[in-house]
Amino acid sequence: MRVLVVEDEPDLRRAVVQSLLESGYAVDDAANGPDGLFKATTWDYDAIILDLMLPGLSGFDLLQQLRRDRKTPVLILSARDGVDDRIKGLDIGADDYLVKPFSIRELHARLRALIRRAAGQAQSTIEIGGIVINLVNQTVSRDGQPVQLTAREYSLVELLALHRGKLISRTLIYDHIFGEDDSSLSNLVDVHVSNIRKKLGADFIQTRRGQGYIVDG
Amino acid sequence: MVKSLRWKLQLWHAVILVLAILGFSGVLYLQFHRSLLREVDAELLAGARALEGTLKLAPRFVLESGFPEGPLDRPLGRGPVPGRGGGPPEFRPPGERNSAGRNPPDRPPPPIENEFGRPLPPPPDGPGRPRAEGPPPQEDRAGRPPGGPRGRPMSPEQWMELLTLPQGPPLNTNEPPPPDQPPPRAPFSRPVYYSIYAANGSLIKASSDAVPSVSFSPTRRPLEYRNRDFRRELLLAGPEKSVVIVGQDVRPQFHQLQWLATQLLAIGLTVLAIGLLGGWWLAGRAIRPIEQISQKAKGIEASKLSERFNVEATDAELRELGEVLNSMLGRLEAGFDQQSRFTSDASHELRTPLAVLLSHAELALSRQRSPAEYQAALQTIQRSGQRMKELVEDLLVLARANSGRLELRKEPTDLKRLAEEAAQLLKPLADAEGVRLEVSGSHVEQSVDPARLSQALVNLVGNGIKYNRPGGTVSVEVSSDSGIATIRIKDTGEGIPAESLPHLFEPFYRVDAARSRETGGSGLGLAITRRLVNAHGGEIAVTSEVGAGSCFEIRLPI
Repeated sequence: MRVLVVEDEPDLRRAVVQSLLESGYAVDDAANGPDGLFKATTWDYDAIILDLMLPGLSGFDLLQQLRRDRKTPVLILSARDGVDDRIKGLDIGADDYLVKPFSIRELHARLRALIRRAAGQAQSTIEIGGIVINLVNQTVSRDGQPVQLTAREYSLVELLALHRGKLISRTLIYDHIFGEDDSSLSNLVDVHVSNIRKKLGADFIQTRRGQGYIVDG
Repeated sequence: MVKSLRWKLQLWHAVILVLAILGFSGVLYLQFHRSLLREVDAELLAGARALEGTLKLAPRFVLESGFPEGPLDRPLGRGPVPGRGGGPPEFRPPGERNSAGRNPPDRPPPPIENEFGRPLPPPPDGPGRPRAEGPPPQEDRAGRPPGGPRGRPMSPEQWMELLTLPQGPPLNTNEPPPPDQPPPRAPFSRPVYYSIYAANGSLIKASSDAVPSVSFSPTRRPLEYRNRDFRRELLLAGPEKSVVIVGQDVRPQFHQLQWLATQLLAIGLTVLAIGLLGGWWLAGRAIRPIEQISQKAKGIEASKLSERFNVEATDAELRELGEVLNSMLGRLEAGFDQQSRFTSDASHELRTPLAVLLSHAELALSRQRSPAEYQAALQTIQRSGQRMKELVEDLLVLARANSGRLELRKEPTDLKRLAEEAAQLLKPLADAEGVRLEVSGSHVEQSVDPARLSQALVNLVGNGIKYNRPGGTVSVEVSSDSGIATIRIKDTGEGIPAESLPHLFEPFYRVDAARSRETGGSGLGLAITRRLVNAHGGEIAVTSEVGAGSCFEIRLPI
């Protein structure tokens, strides 16, 4: 899952980014409004964490411009705790609103819920054949036996499972699994897929030559 | 004292009403009293003149102190014995005198009938009758012409009989007279008594119902009225220093006056009662809008300060009150808004470092970390804590200054040296930003709190450095002119937009909402600077040109 963090306070941005990276997200960050808007409209993020008081362009303005052509889930993270601010933020297109100071665990839980709902998945566990994916614990089990996956592998499984039955292109996988700082090689996805097939069975992910991958197709 | 406006109004109303009623009743009473008295006095004067006229015609011996021996050897009534003149005459009570004086048993019957209308002898010289209101002379029953100098001279007794007055109707003539008879002519509305004294004080004659004169003294004035008990008396100086006293019982008039007074009292009390009730009602009506305003004011609380009184519907006097209250509410609302904005801004400013602190702590604790990671986390936490501490200190200074509890430790200070110290302190920052610092001007000695004023200078010079362009300058100039020390801090930065200038010294105001995040300011620097300058009795002003730079000017009175 790829997430954009737009926050101007460097220490806070660092904490959020690090915590997301440790949870296996691919993370981009922006320190001001224009940079954030550019990234948000250029890449297809699974979610955006947005501060309101931003240099150059306020979070409200950024959100309004983003909503013209993007449905990316947005979580506002702001020190503005007024009811009016929260209502305004939600009304102009935010999907959630979290007031500073906040708990990182809560931020992650809200982020997971946002991504899950955006994929049309209401529950936090996905079962495909004998494979059960727990989105909260980020664990996968096969026939009741836990399976150890790396963070990248899990991200790929989660991405395909959330969009089960849909063809996911390699480009999309790149965009969602790797952040802009990752020096991804073109065959890295194939390596991850092959590793997943070893752990979860060869039939779990099907390959459409020249198109991409699909789960539960 | 009475505190209720309504009661005060009512009290004044009552006082004025009582005074008005008293005045009106008093005038009415006095007028009536005077007119009654004038009637009585006119009757008394008529009677006295009649007696005086008779006396003037009477022979001299009548007026002399002693009557000749014979039928006239004793005065009528119980006057003093002739020769003992001078002493006050003594009378017996009227009833007693009736038998002793008027009809003494040994007294011969009067030769001439003596009733009202009895003609008086004409004056010696013919024309002019002294008696003004007397009936025309007529012949007596015997057909004789009235006695006089030309007729047969009258005896002293006859003169005595002539010296009398007709009597009015009795007191109890309340029932109307028989219709077939014309009412008897009454020269006096009420009985009149009289007494005549000679010059030496001896009584010449008195009517049967005459009241004894307690202290008789010959009157010096020709006419003198006096009141005794319930009697009105007229003392008239007669011929030969005689004194004619004519009196009337004024008890009925007194009763009339009493009745009038009772009526006036009743009417007055009624009018007063009605007036007070009306006044109470009016006062209630007058203060009802005040009550409405106070009722509404009770409902206005700190949370509903946007409410206003409706002044359109009220009267002019109360409209002013309403407008005053409205403007006061406006100021209160603005103050409350400012206060709550300040609080919310302050909490907002504290939230960000707090969020940094908590998130880094949570992140560090979320899993096992290397010592280097813990160290980095703790450093970040310390930095945030430091920033919160500075913010809290700034807020404290601001709060103290706002409530006027900023303590100044003033001492004579060279302002230029203070500026140089501030520049010295900020030299590293200026070097890092590539900004040149200049301090110029004269040495001005001023009694200030060096620490506080230095804080203000550091804030301004620091701003000048932070918002400057690389290669720019910040110049501090100290001067003194006509008792005012001036410190100018000029920078060559980007300047401040004109629309931001009025808000520049407000707490948490930022020209660019987020720019100062990078420069580390809390948004309180200029607000604190102004408070510090104000605490010194000075003023701070700013002029700025976008693209050219800003100039802050501190003016301190010596």
